Amino acid sequence: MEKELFLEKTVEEIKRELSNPDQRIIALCRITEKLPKNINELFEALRVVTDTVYPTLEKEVGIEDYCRICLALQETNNEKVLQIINSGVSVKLEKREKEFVKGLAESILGLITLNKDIEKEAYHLAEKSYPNFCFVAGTNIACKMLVISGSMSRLSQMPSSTIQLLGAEKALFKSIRTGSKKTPRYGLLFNHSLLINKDKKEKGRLSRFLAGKIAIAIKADISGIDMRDELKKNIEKKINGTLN
Amino acid sequence: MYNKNLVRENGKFYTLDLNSKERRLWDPYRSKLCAGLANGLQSLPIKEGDSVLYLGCAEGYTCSFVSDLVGVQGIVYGVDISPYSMQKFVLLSKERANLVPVLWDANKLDKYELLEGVKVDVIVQDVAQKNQVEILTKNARQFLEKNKHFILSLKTSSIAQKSAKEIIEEETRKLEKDFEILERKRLEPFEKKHILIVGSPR
Ligand SMILES: C[S@@+](CC[C@H](N)C(=O)[O-])C[C@H]1O[C@@H](n2cnc3c(N)ncnc32)[C@H](O)[C@@H]1O
Repeated sequence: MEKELFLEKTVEEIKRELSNPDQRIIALCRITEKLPKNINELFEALRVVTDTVYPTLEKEVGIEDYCRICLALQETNNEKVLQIINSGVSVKLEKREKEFVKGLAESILGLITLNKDIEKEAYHLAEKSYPNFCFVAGTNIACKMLVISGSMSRLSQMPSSTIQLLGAEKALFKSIRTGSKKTPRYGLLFNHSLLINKDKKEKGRLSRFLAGKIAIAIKADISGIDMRDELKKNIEKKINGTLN
Repeated sequence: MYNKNLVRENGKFYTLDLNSKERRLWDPYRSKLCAGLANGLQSLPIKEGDSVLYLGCAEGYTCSFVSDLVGVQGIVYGVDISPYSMQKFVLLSKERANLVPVLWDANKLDKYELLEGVKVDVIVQDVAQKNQVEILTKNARQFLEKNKHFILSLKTSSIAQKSAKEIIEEETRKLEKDFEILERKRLEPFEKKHILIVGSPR
């Protein structure tokens, strides 16, 4: 029957399109961008109770250590904590409050682990599907570029000058609106490992260079070619060149 | 226009289910076509036995009612660009013999080989795209003969910095080049920023 032909073709195409990992990578990355905010809010809730027990502790340690200290409650040998507890101003919690604090601290630590797992999953998908791109841009930046552009196919159609400025959209629009000559020179690539500790001029040059290589890497990934060795040599050459 | 699979009672609309022939309530808050009927649309050009090309079928909510309207002798080609929606539409098409799934871009239907030579009685379009009139014109040229009909759900907010009224007038003028417009219906309060247009190729 005629319908069977349509059905077959549609099912085949659905499978092909759903095997494209872009939407999954993007969705996972969006969650990892949002979760820290929720974690911070829960941390605020925790501190409503624990602030009086450990005044100023949040300035000494990060969220994770803070939560771990809360889990151990009094049984700790961390010197700073002991100092605070023994200062005479620290409030003692009732049994019920202790349970509450433990539960909340546990949940926060759980969410932090979960967020890392989600990020790992996104990075794994990205590296497996787009090895060249992740190699040149760094998986973190590659994922962020995917989020901004919406898909690998859109990225593959961008000229390298656009890739260079991905993540700088706000600054770019501002410079256009105000007619300023100070157009941005790098967006996400500002945080690329090769740009760290470089002076301004170098940063501009390197980000242009990297954007070009990223454009090549993206096209290679779409064609399913592994160019990592060649790209690595190119990049090393450039770095050594700029050092001289 | 009359369709014997459409029932109106106490201001509510029902269709007779394709398979069971039982009444199914049609929700105007979920379906723009039903919103048009609820607001008094006179010309519903979908008859029993019709073939329909439905552009932007999504998961198939409205399409399932169109499937009831055309009945077992009719056929509804549901076109959508999203594989996630189409996954659900395929499941629906397994329950409804007259639904045919097409995962494709409505801008490029002329490249869909299986649809080559197909003519339909009605095009329903609800794609929420900037070039909505262009999409309709293109597809009408290929799939719709004279005296046949289209039902277009026109989004009136996709183009920035113009009032809904200006957009409607402008898009209507574009439509009138190729089509005769039979009726226009606003969809408030069921659906904001949309208008339903029924017409025919010139
Ligand atoms: C508002 S929804 C349609 C809802 C549906 N008509 C109903 O009432 O149940 C718009 C749909 O159009 C689809 N769409 C957007 N652009 C399209 C295109 N160029 N070709 C085909 N479908 C498109 C979207 O994927 C989305 O599912």
